[in-house]
Amino acid sequence: MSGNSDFQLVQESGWRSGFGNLFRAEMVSWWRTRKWWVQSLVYISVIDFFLLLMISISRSDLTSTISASELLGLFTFFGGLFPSVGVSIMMQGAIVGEKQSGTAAWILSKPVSRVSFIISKLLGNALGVAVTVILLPGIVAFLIITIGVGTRIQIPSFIAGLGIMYLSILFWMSLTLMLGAFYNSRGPVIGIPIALIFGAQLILGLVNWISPKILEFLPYALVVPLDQGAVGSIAQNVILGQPLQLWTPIPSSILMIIVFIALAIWRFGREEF
Amino acid sequence: MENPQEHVIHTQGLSKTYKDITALKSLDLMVPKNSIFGFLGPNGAGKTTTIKLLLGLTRPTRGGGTMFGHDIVEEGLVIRRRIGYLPQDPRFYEHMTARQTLDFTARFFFKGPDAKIAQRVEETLDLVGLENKADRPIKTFSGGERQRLGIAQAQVNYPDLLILDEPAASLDPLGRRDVLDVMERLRKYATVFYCTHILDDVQRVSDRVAILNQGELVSQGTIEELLAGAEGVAFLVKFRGASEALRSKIGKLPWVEDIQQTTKANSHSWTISVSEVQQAESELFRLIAAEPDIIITEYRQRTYELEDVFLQLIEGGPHVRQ
Repeated sequence: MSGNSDFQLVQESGWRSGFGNLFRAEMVSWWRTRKWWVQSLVYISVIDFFLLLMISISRSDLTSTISASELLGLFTFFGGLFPSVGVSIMMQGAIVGEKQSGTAAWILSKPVSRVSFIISKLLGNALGVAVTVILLPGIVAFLIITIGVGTRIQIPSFIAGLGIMYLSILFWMSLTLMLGAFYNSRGPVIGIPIALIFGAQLILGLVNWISPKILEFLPYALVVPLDQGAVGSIAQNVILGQPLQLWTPIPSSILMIIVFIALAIWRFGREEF
Repeated sequence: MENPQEHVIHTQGLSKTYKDITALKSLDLMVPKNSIFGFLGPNGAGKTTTIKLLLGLTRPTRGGGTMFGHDIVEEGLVIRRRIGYLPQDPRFYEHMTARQTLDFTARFFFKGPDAKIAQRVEETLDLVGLENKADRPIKTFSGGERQRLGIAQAQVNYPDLLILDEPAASLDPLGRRDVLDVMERLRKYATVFYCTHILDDVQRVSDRVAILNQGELVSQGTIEELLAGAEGVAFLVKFRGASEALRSKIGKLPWVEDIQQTTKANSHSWTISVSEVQQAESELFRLIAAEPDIIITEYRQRTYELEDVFLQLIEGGPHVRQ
């Protein structure tokens, strides 16, 4: 390179090659565009408006009042499961969208490792999702429940509960990422996670009929109450400070996230452009 | 014997098969340093496949190669630090502006200083005539503007090797001229390896050419070597008048190999292939002009263009000249 003696050269090597620049670009696309506040507004509107609606209905109906526990159950269910649909739609563009548009081939013609391409997409979006889908709607929900119902919620417990909800969303994110690495069309990449999310009740019933033991290793219990609501979701119980009747979905979800990411890296490394 | 150290690209038996389709058959290619190397072939010849193999975007089925002495499969990252690449259909992030795209590209190579990177971005924008559109989102760009941006991003890192896949595609004649000027300017600092269908451009700027057909290398050499190796020397003569007696007379000359004739109304056009150029130069015109019944309207030695050679090689099958 004849004219580059005036520059400080990038020193990244191996799998980290190109990571810094790619991650920075992801951050720019999240925080220096309208994406962050649009996402935040959408999720705050959907999740927290629902809580306000429930409180409002409860106040107008003198025969029954809604408890903080019930509100938290609704919050962890809607806040943990349904944003996963939006996150899956967003994540499918991260890999399969870039493969289809040709930008992935362009990026990989630069000194960029395929591992850093995958990791930067995952980390960049995971950070964006943590703030816009979990943290901000969570803060608003905390205020609504404490002010609206007058119940004191322990902040550390609430943060831990948000962590469980985030784990659930990370599961769907990493699943979509892996599918994006395996498939070249958007159909299965978006269709499989959405079918698994919307079909949660059906799948839970089916799995329960085959072997209830399997339920203990699926990520659903992180945010979905089991046994027809008799057993609250893990996130709900964590926030309420109640003992966990089921904890195995936490390590099994973490393990599956790791496996999905590893498979995504492996498959993307073999991709031909 | 050419020294491989002097070659920026050196492939040996490079092959690629997709299921049952052979895209590239045992390519042996040598691209000398600081050359402008034209890589030609009809659609589906394997040109883009070769480029993707060189860039590590796809893996060879057999064979291999080196670039700057580094293995194209194992050392892709090292190689790509020294390369600028323009894809056939350049695609960028639509939400970015041209300036952001060039800054983003530059930062894969340089981490600072910021002022120098900004200056380099300005230079490349200026070089491709996008300085007035630098802050417009790419989604508003026309095909030609994307192509210009593609050329800009390919050279923002001062590459030692510029790989351009159809660089003049989507450009108007002025844009085409600018691209060729850029390539000629870069010759001093870099090697340019490019694919194109525009044979006039190749003949104008290239030092060396390789022609690929159906995945096979059919010829490789300098432009002069390729043109010299065309169908031999021939003279073109056009005239009016009786032709049979003259044809018989000329055809009997020992250094005349063949006469191809086309006739339109009373006007004849002959292409006379000869084995002895000097003899033909000194005698042929006099012999024809001496015929009293004919009027010569045109007489010249036929010169071959790259297009003639290209068509001859593509239609004539493999004929490798190293």
